[in-house]
Amino acid sequence: MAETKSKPKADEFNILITGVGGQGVMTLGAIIAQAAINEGKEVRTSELHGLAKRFGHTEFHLRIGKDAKTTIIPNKSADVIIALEPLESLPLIKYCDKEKTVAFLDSIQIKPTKMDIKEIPYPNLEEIKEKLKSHVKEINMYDASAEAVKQTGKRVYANIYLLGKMLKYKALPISARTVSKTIEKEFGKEGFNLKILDSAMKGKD
Amino acid sequence: MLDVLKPNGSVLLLGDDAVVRGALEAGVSFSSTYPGTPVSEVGDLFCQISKETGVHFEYCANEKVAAEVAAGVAFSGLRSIVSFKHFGFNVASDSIFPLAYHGVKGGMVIVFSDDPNCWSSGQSEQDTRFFAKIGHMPMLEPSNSQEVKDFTKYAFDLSEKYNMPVLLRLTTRIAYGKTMVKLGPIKKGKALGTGKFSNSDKWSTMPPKIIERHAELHEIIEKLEKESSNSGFNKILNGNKGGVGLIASGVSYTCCLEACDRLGLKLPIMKLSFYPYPKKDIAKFIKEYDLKEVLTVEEIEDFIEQQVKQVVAEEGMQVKVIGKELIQPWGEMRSEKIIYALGKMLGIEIPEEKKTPVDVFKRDPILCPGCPHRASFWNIKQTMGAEAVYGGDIGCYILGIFDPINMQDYIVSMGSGTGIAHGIHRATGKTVVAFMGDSTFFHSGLPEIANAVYNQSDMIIIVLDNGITAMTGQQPNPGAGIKCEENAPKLSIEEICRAMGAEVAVVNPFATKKMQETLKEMKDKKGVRVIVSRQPCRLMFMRNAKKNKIKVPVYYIDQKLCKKCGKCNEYGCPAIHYDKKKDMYYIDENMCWGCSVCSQICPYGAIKAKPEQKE
Ligand SMILES: Cc1ncc(C[n+]2csc(CCOP(=O)(O)OP(=O)(O)O)c2C)c(N)n1
Ligand code: SF4
Repeated sequence: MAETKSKPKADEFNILITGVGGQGVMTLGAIIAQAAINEGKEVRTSELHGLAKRFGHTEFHLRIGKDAKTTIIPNKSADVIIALEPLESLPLIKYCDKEKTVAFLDSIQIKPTKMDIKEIPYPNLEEIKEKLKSHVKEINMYDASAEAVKQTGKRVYANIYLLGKMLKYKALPISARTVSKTIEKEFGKEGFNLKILDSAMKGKD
Repeated sequence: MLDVLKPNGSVLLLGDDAVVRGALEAGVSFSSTYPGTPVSEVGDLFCQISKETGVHFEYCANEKVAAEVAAGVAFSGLRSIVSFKHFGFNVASDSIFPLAYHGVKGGMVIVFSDDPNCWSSGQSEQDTRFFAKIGHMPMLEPSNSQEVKDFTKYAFDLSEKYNMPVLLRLTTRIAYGKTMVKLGPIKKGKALGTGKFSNSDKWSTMPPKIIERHAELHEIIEKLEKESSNSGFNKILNGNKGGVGLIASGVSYTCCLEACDRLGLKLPIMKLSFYPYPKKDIAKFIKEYDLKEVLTVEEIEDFIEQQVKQVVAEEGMQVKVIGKELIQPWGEMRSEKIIYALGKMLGIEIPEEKKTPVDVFKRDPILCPGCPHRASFWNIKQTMGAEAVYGGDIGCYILGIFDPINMQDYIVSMGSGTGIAHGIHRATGKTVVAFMGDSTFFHSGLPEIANAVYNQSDMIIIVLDNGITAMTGQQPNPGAGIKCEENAPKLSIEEICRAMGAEVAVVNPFATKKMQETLKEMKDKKGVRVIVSRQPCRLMFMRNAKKNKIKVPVYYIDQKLCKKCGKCNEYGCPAIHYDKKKDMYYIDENMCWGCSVCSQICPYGAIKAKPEQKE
């Protein structure tokens, strides 16, 4: 199979979200997609259900802009990859471009059962980063799950924490204001979502 | 308000949801399904909105029944829609093929989805488009959610115009892709009960009438070809003349656009969305653009390629048609595959594709923590042994194919585990242990068990009764005691099996000792034995617990008592881990769903419930 170097297009931004089924990959994707729509942008997404969802590798493709044609991101075309579990970032390598892809990773290690049974050690985080490094422009890793547990007692808010970090560093073509408005509209003012988002954006790192 | 019910405007819709919107805009009265990824969400959404919209919806025992019920509604003049996955079409095909012969009065739309790359289909990579040809039925193939909605709505009118069911073909990336949809007005369908069944319509055909009708069908197909040509659904995208042109459908069409964009090429592209494909338009496209080569772009088999080649041969045109020669007939379509093919045809150098390195760890899907299937497998392996022959079937328990369970020795299709078990018994004299889920029991397991009893087989059938159709997203079935959002009669699996003449026992997989005792007793008997292993799907249980604020225990390993035998790790629960550096077994609290089985497995009583529990 083949690929050509992606020609820069006028209006296209590709976000690829991954993690382990049940971690909130789809929810995060839905929030970013809705926020982009609320800014009047055109959006295409692709997800998988069924068998793929039972604690396996999960992917959500999100394409913003009218020049995107397919719902799946072509190879070497991701602008941002988000991995809610670091090991899951590695299957995304073919979508990455050394010159532009920015990676956001949660440091939480969810050890696959296969590793436990076969006594395969989970690679340490530096090893994972090392593998990814030659394929992306930048890696940002946060203790998002740990922060979420600290602040809410629940790991599921890690996705919103990472979103906050992306907004802080302006990694997405959407304003922080639109995102928090979108979260408020979809989930209400109460609950932990806005608090976590806010704390991630204000945090020092 | 759900986006799909908004009165107007533009919304981002899943392909599956767009089916529902299209049907609402067409004034549908009735919808039925048997769930199957990637179209389960069509039925689930119909269920969710049925009260609000007044569109009656039913989960059926299997796809054949679902199609028949929808046909009955359409015979009586109301509009109906039925949805299932490609394998479901196989099950329903026996009733669907005659429908074109019989005709329908109210519009009837049959929605199905193929699953290129088998993302959610462990059985075969099937191309169901060929059924349109065998069934003499028109088939529409959308390439985005807008078209899904528009085509669905149009399909009802088309169905009524030609008095035959219309097929709507999705594929995974269309069903589970979201694109913007401009909404049209919702139309209230005719109320149930207002249909009229007239026996003068003669809903039956027998030879010689059936042959006459078959001849008529071929005339209708010709008319439909004209209809296809005039529909405006097959589109041509302008491009350069005198070179290469593309012909594609569905998701492959969008990949063509992406590929041409990336290569900076302006090639003419013909999109085919309406089968029977208009032969004269295909010929015109090739002639008008003075094409020397045509690349047919489609997922799985060469459905379009064959027909384009036929047109070229009939017209005696000097053009080379290339399809599967350069784009393999397996896996799903990607723009990269087209870029590769065009590179070959046009002599453009294409750099090698970057592949995921082989040493990247692949995380397979796994049974949930606390899944009752894992407990059943465990108890059965303890009593029947790892070397027994285990007949597999279709459901979440298919995941028992992986280590450390490894108890699905063959998997063919829904219900087949038991039929094959009987064949193996006949050939080898062995007693096979065959699994089936509760939904599979009602779907196709019943005749399998009847056959086993009737033919005096010897086997142990384990009905893994988690009270729901879990794999496809927790839909109810006749054993669940509920139907779409309402209580329903609850059919008893054990009583049915007893009535069929099988020896029956009911067990709880979380009571491991007791279940193993019962299994041993049953193992010593002869004949067809059915063991109903009953415990709710843990995912459903956890959702209900959260909703009703019920506390679920969390387990931990008391390191003082742990003798590091590793028995709990053998159980293969995703919450149990081994830390090699510390030589320590531990439970990840966030993952524990409190089933208690590991605490029963530990020979030293080291696994205990925590005093504080999670909600
Ligand atoms: C003919 C056919 N229809 C539908 C499906 C989709 N399907 C896959 S698994 C499954 C669930 C079966 O439910 P059950 O037997 O109760 O097992 P569970 O998932 O609850 O463990 C279904 C419907 C299929 N594979 N084949
Ligand atoms: S969804 Fe239910 S049946 Fe399926 S693996 Fe999870 S707990 Fe088991």
